[in-house]
Amino acid sequence: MLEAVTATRRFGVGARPGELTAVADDPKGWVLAQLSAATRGEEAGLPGSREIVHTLVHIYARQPELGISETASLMLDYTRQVFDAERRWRLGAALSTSTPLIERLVWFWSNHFTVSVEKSTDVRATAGSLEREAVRPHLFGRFRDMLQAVARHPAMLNYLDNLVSVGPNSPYGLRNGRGLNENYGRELLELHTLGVQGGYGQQDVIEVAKALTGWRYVNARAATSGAFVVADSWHEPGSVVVLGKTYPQEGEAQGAALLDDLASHPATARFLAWKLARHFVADPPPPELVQAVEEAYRESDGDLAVVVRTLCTHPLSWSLPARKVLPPWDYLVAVHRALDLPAVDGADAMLGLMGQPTWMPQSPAGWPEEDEAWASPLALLLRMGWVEELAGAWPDIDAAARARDVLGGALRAETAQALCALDRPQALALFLASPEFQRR
Amino acid sequence: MHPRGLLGSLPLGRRGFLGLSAGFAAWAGLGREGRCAEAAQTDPRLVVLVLHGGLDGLALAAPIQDPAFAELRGDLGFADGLPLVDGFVLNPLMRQLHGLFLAGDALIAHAVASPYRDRSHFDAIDVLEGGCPVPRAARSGWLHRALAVLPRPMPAALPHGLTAAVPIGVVLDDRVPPLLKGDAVPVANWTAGRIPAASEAMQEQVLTLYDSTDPALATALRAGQRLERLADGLSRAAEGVSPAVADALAAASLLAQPAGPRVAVLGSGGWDTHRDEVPALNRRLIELDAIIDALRRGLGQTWGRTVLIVVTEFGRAVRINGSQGSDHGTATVALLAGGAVAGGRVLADWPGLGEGDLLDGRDLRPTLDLRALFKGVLRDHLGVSPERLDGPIFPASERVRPLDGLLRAV
Repeated sequence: MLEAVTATRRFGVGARPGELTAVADDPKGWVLAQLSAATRGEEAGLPGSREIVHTLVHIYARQPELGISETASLMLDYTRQVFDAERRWRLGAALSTSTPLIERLVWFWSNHFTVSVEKSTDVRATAGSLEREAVRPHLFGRFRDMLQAVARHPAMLNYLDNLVSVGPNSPYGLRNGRGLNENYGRELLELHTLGVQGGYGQQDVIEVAKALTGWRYVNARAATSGAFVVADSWHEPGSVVVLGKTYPQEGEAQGAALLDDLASHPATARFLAWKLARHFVADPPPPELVQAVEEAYRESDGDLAVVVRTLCTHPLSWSLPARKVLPPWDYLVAVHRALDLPAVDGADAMLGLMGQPTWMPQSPAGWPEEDEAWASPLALLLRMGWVEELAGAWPDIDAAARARDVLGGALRAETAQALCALDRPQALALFLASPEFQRR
Repeated sequence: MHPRGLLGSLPLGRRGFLGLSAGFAAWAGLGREGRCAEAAQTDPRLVVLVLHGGLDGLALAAPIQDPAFAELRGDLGFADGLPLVDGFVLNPLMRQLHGLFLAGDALIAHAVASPYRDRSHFDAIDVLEGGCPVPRAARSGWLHRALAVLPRPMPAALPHGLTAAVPIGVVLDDRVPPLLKGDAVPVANWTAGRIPAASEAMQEQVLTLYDSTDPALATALRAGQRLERLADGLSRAAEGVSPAVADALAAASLLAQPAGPRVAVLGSGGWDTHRDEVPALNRRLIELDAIIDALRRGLGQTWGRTVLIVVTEFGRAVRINGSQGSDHGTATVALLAGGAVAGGRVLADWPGLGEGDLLDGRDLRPTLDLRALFKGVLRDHLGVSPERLDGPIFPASERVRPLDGLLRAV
């Protein structure tokens, strides 16, 4: 029964009533079966990034007729509609999924490739599509394909400024005195691939930035389309040298070759293995587990199905105690599922108060991984207040029975006893505030 | 004798006078306000405001008499700055800070940096707030370690027996930052938003359960409860201002209470100005000025016993980049403000902006280690004993001496 809890919490998003019993026969098999399930995304029925940017461009183009303020308000309205619809779909997918490992991996990689909607209108409108278009299709494919897709997505191109990075010796750069912007080049090495200890230097950052000059999508101001393009007139001519290797290619091929090499680099294998093990299993992660995942990555050349399989079948992944505090988003999802609720009103506001508003992390490093960040005094008060309010609305739920249902063998005797001693709404709130519900 | 500002440094030549001893020596002979405080402040308050993303120090305080400045900065320079001293001007948006500077309540330290010399935000923050000379070495924050060795007893104004029950560090943020990480003293966080409050009975139940099964959660919850009691009514008081200013007002109210916390940490984001720097930075600077003013107003009389330190993880490259912004750099500006500060001065061993002066040919070269500034404040304001500063609080920093004379003589 403990293995079923591990399956639904460590590798899942929290059990719905009955789910634990359903997976109890073969918890590991239940997790692994998800590796061949559909990764969804296309079923969202939401517009793609190209259509979204295109729509913004069209609104923008009407400025002469509508005036500046009317145009701006139409763009903001459309952006907010898309953003709200994306958030709604994301939460709905989490609450209804029967393949929760897929959702967890989406959140992990989406956070690995963080964007913040506070950057700009374009990022606000396309952050959700980054997950659906660049992350979901590659969950069990090659990391390099995910990296390539993210690098071409408008949300990332805009968020880390590659959109405005110009080759200083390109025709456009020479004509307008424009030059490089290092932002994406640096974070690509530090956060997306090699990791800060990956052995690169400032000159590598500059060379990477050069290789990616011209990678952009034409944005609203340029008034054409919303597709990824490599603008030759912005691209820095000539070879670049990164980590000692020369890339003589021209145009898009140069950056594409570089991204492939970064994805295959041993430092990337190490960094991603550490990050996965730390996120899913334990912080700090056991070196033995990191090493196993790292080897799986290297030997499969970044095949994420192999990597995830290794992570999810390692004995340590099933034996280490549940110590990691659920981040606010995961907590919110787990509470909904335990009570079998559709999305409650105010869920987004609650996430904001608890410090994890969707797609709004404070830095390109994404959300923190440390327990301290989420088990802060304020966060605990907020969670307690929120679940008490929620529990009051569902007086018919038998807390003790529900706790046994979704926590199984992880439910401690002390908690079970306390639940029996309270009336129903209070007991339900206590169950949701209990340490075993807050940690996985 | 005056701390060497821009003009003073040019003829003297910088090379033989680099490093921490420079700052120390420059301050040693100061008269009047600049003397090393003989005793630490009674019942002091400390606020640390961390600007996340890397403040462009040259855009906050500009060395307009450095011949290379105008040429290098181009559009990011400004001509209508508010006059400081020693050839520096303050960004014209910083009116409140300028007023404090003129009143002797604000000090600007320029060409400062932590010991970190690469350009990763995250490693830079780790070094700045962790207090170790290299990234990823610290398990707790230097401010937390300093709080753990504060002289006891706690201030006389604090009712006897309440010491351990009051969070002495408070974070105005939804998370506890690296600076205050640790488990040696009570630290709590709070923000000026509506908190759905759990009933007393519920809180009791949860606490009982945590006490028997999860002490870490119990400790955190207790700290939160205490702060919540102190902060009763603060959200309403801060209505109608931006969240950052609301947090500053709340921090001030908490610190001003005799039984309140003594140290507060605030954060401000959005300083990573890679693109179109001027409009982005202007918004941030206006808010920074408002935060400083909110602290001054909110602290009232307590302002006289307060030091505010404003720091950022690194500065920005001196030249503007290809998109009217600036990329990650090294040295930048730090601010000290508060009635306890011996202000009205620019503390700078100016490294120059000439071709050979820049670090790696691109960044303002650091000439003052931020740890010297922090040590000076910890020793002379909070009364942390000097032998604690080098080892437990800032490991492996024996050569970085505390700056004397940062505070007014008490």
